[in-house]
Amino acid sequence: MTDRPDLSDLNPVTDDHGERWARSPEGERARDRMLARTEVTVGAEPAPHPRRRLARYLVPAAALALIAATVVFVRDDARAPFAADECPVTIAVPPYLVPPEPWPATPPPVVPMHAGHWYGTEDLWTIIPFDGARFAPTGDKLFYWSRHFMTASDDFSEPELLVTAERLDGEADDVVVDHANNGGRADVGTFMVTGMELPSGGCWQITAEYRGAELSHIVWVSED
Amino acid sequence: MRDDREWLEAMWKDHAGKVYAYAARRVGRDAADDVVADTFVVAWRNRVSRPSHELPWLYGVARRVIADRRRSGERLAHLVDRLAENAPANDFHDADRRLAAAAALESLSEEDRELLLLAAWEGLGAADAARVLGVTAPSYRMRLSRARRRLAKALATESAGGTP
Repeated sequence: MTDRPDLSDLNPVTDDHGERWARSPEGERARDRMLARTEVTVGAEPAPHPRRRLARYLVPAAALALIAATVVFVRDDARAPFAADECPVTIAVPPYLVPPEPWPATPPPVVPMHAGHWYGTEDLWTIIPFDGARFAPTGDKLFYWSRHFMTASDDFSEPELLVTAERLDGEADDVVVDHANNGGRADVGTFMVTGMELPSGGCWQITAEYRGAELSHIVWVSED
Repeated sequence: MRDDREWLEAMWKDHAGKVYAYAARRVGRDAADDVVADTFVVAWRNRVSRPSHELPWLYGVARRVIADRRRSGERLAHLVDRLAENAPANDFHDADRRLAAAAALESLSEEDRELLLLAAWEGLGAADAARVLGVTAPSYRMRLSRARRRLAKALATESAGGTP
């Protein structure tokens, strides 16, 4: 097994060197060339300063916010913890995905998968339980299928599946899982499976990526 | 307009050194002067869309400037060559290790390299690196994890003799 190389060790130019360059005659000459080339655009429409741009939108935005505040609860902090019913948990809605053969048109109830609907695209799909996506507080298995993932696939022994989880309602480090196993049954076909543990309860978005296809779903995770 | 000129000069003062370092790391010091000047000219032309947090935006512009130069056929220095020039002569083991790591890095795609180097060389966190690349932070993290895996494989190949 090879250790992960420390790429900072390969850095051929330090930031300090960059700062010295900026103050050097070479840096001064580059600055003069840059300024000379930007002089030709003197007649161009001046760009508003970001603060002025902000002000342009601030007044109408403030008015809209005031109106909205009269009818809905306005959260002080977008990352404040949600109540369970505020988390937009993913629910599969018709028309449900019908995967290509040889996968079954609807997922059979198979333990430990939840009974539910196929959800996603032919490039990457999962099962969403009938009453919405779930995730156990202590960690859970995640199952994914793809028309590109079959026993003949070159990554069959080590699926190139990546799964991340991002907490939507509070500060928590993202979770990244880059190891998955293969699985297969006559009734659900070939699939990829991985396990994930989340560091806290709350509202989490789980995103899987496989061969360029991405699939996200949102789960509510209750505290232990 | 005067505000814009002041903005441009202030941005140069604040960020030119870092943009130079970014460019020199990727194309060598000889070509970096021009990349920096081009980057600020392009930034000036696109000043209407400038964000308040400018450095990741400038790195993104510099990245496109470098890509344009490569596409136009300009010969830009490779990392292995630059490291070979700078390798300390009295530590062959260390030099070999660094060159093997550099060769593994060079064997990756440009996208994988950039994912790895924005973190390792520019020291950017996921949010800023994602801004440079124009992707979401979760997507950046996923791609970074995958790039690290590919680098480890490439390094194992390099360490085992060079050819897969």
